[in-house]
Amino acid sequence: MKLLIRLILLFTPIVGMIMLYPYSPRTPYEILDADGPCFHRTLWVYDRIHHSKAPIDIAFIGTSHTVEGIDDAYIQQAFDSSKWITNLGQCFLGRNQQFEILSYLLKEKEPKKIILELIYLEETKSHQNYYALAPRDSILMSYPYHDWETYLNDVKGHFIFRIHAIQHEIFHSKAPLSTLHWGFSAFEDTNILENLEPVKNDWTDAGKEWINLRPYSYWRKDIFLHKMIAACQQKGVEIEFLYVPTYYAPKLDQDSLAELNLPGRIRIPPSYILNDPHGRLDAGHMNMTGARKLSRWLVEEWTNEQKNH
Amino acid sequence: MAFNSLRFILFFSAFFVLYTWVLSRLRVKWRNLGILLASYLFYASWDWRFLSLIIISSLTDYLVGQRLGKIQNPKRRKGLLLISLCVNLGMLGVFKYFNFFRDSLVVLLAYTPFQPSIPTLDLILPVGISFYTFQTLSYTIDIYRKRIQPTSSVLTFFTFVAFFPQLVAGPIERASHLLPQFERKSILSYQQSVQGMRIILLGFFKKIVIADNFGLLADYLLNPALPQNGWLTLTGSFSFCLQIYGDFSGYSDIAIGLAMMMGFRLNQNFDTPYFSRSLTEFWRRWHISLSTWFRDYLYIPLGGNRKGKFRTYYNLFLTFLLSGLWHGADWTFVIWGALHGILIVVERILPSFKRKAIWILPVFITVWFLWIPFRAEGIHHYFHMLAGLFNLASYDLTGMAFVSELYPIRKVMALSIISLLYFSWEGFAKGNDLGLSKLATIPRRMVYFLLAIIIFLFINFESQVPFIYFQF
Repeated sequence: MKLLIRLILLFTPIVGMIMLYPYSPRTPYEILDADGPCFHRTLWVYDRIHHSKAPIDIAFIGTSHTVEGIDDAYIQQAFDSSKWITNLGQCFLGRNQQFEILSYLLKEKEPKKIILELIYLEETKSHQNYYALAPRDSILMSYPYHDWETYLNDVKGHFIFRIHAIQHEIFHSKAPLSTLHWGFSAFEDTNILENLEPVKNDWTDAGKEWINLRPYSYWRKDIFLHKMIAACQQKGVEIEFLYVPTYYAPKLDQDSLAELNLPGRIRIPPSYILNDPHGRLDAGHMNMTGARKLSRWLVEEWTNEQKNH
Repeated sequence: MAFNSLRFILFFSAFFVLYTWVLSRLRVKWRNLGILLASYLFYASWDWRFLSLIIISSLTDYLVGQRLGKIQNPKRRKGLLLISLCVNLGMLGVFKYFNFFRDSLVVLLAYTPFQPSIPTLDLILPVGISFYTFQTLSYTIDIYRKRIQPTSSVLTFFTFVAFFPQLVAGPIERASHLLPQFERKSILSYQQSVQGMRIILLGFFKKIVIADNFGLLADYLLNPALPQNGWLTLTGSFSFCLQIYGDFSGYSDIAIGLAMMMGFRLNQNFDTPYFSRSLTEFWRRWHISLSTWFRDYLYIPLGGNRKGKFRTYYNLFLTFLLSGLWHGADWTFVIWGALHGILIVVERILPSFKRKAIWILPVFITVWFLWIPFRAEGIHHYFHMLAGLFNLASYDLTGMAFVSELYPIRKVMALSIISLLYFSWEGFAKGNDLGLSKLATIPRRMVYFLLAIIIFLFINFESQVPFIYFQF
């Protein structure tokens, strides 16, 4: 017991130092940016929100479907060049991570409208960057009673990541500021039709799975989704929802949508855009052709609404 | 379940609580049973199927030992010893060396008209097989030589072979030293546990700070895909030289510390080898348990230095050659052993004299260069590195620029300063704990704190680097 107490006495101040070390909030974005092809957006998003002088009037927040489906520069030019429209999508599912980005955005900029991607299937676990990018208090004050395993995983992941961030801050030079204004990123390649066909047929079963998953997997989505909605409403920011699903995904279940009680307009692109095999890089993501079509459709929708209004 | 994994830390913490409060208070056989089960669980975490090998090896030597204790007829005794040698070295041969000798034979036969089809075996090398095979063999050989008496308890013997702190990478313990400790009740004391933890802390420091970080650098610098470059070979092999010391002596320290916490004493395996003044001295200080094993069970039975000069040179060379082969089934290890053997023989031929401290540097440089074949990923990589080393035109500093992108220069500098300070401390301090226990309370706690902080600053969570000697 004496040994245990002495060990605790040795490690408590070290753990305390790690948890309280005031590293720059930009550091985690720098680390993840260098971590892989999908993470390279993190530093850009951080710098666009925190360091870029250009305002953000309309922001898209979502997953890689948004990143590769919404041509923000085109929409800005075609819809209203006086408004700054930015695609702040991040790879991987996870509303908790999107909530962090939205919180920064609402704090640093004055957006007029937020377009949230409507997610068809939600991961039960956190966004894999959440424990890295979210501030300490946000992690610790999360909702453990819903899912202890995820909560403890986040706390452990955050602690380890803090060590990584401290090491990075001490040993690495700061990365240069990103000066990009728009975040759209898509490929020209088109998927081979044969690869898409099986996905099309598989959806019948996946639809059933969605209904089965709902009772235990939706809590995180619902909580963070409603936290995002509340944060926007508090600042008087308009919200819209955009559905950018996988190839040939079934239509959204209206009852489930009603349960979510979403306060903004839900935009569901027509089937000729979502299910066009030439507009797909793969089953999940659009290519340049698909993204252009989707962005054009969105501009038309907004323009028509503006005219009618 | 390597020592540097969270799984092992949790495993040992749970075991230590159970050991302190329950097992150590029970009768010896129940305590040993607890240790044996924990050891088998630890070993099974790699691959439970290999438990059968350790059980076969233990059972063979236990039974052979029992018979040797009763039989006096020299021929029958020799026969029993032969059974133990065949079973143990046979398993080692099949699992570790079969494919190596098969491949070498195929290459050799390619130059002859005979080209038979020899199958390869799709086998995974069981972790720690070289270590526990030598440990259990030493027991049988010592009984054969009538140096020790066989143990009557099968449980005690099985625990001696499988004792988890030293099961997978030594130190290779002698039965005369470790076995009696399993036959008596262990006395646990607070001071002993603290001392064990001190040694473990130093072991983790060597592994996590020195070995893992220099290992990462060595991996970048000695990548076989890189073009020949003398600077890369020089700095890469230097990094490896520090990595292997930090890795293996760090492992040994952790093993010794863990055993000490449980009330067992393991033999010292390293004694500041890079401060040696001759290669002979280096081998008295590096992997002491293996060097002494080869001395006692190979070099001396071959005749040692008792059969004239030339036979001594031959015995030395052969011992080092086989020691190289023990490390791994590859020609690079054979070359490494042979080079050490040749240089040791040269040292013997030269007139002996009292070497001053200035000899530490040339001996260190020699050992450093001799690590190159050991680190090489195959014979072609070895020649690639050698060519870079001896081709003066390849010494191009611009070829190293990529390293600063992979490994920040500030980290290299901090690591170099910390390592230099640590090695200086190790060179002058005495004892396994580097004199920490003799420091006054406050400075001692400050050192613990500092070591722990440095470990956290240099720990690499992304890629957990396995212990090098686990592969042997």
